[in-house]
Amino acid sequence: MNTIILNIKGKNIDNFIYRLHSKRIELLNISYINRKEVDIEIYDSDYVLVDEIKGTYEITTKKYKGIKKVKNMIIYHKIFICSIILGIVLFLTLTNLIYDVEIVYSGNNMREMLSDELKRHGIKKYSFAKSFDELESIKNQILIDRKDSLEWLMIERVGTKYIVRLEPRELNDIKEDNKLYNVIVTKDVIIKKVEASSGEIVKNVNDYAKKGDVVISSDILLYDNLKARVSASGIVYGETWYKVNIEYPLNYYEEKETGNVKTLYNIKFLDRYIGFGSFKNKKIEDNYILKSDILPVALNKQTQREIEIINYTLGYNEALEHAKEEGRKKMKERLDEDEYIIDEKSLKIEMKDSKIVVDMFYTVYENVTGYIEIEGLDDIQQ
Amino acid sequence: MRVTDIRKYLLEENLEIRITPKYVDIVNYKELGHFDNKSITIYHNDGNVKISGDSLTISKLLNKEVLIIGDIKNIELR
Repeated sequence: MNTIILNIKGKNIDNFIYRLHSKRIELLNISYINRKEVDIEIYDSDYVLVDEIKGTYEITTKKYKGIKKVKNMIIYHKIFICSIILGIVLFLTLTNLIYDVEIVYSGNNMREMLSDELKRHGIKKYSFAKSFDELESIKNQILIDRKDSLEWLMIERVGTKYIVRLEPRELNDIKEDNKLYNVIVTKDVIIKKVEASSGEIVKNVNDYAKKGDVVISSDILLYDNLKARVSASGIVYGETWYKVNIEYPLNYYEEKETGNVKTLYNIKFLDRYIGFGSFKNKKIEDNYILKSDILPVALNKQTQREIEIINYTLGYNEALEHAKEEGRKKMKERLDEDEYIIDEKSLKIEMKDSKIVVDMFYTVYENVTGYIEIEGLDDIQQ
Repeated sequence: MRVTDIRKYLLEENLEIRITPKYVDIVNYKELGHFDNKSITIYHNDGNVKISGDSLTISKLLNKEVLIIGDIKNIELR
């Protein structure tokens, strides 16, 4: 109940109190300041009557109590409160807006293609930031849509910016035109296997080759003399190296369905359910029988699937194993069927906040075939 | 216990006077009579109560309850 504390000044205060009492106005608290001044507490609803009968007495509202106090405070400070709310909304909006999308790659065609793909999925300047799950989903979708041109893609949010890194897919298609090609390696490798279908192999297995080195040459030599020129073709496999940074949380959380299913009826009020016989941990599917448009109440038929929650903190060794497994998984995503991880090594292991950070070094058996056009047509030297 | 008994228990209708050294609380009175800092008269259905003392003030004045504080010297039931 709302009450008001009034200060009353006048000649004969007792007379005024008697007058109030005769009008059946309840005085919840009477506090004499002196002979001519008193503070009284009355119900808010009686104020109008008090004001009517005050006569020559001076009445001042000292204080409100109850909900009215809160209401008056809000009205009094409305500009301040509105500013705070506006400030918070502005802050949240501006910090969740993306101001730049940076694609880390030198080739223009690839950058343009990827930029269009990202815009199609809503990743562009002045758009709202997406959640981690949404970004992963978009990344996977782009990799599926552009599997011919993209080998690997990463979209990372850094503050109010997206940084997109990519690895283009090098297609080992055999050139079927009249031009001459040499077969080169696309990365620094130790050559592990060379299959030449035409041309001369100029690098051996276990030779080190830098990016761009010719492995199968178009020049056919006999005793150091150029006898013929053919367009080289083949496949080169090499041992390459990757360094991957993995972060893995120390808290392990998993929800596992036990297989138990139950259907029951309950009442939903706001976001709470009132009923009996529920599983302790569950996934639910609601089917409203009766629902009110005005009140947040509904009669609900609910299907519950019992789940077992596994939640514990991983130990150091366990976390490290999980992190390594995660790294292996990420590495394998980049590799084709004929490629594999030869070896792995953890370079640096750090415990940071509630996660383990591991720098992993992988040695990978990979197809590194590339083609480079050389000048001139088929040319036979006598 | 019958419903009427519960009602009577919850909604008392008889005059009640609670006396402590510091205050007198009167419930189910009928009307306020004369009052000043030396004496206060309260009317009830069967008579009146006169409270005498020094520095008497009415701290609470509800429709059915009155609380009187001060230096209470005498309470007369008439």
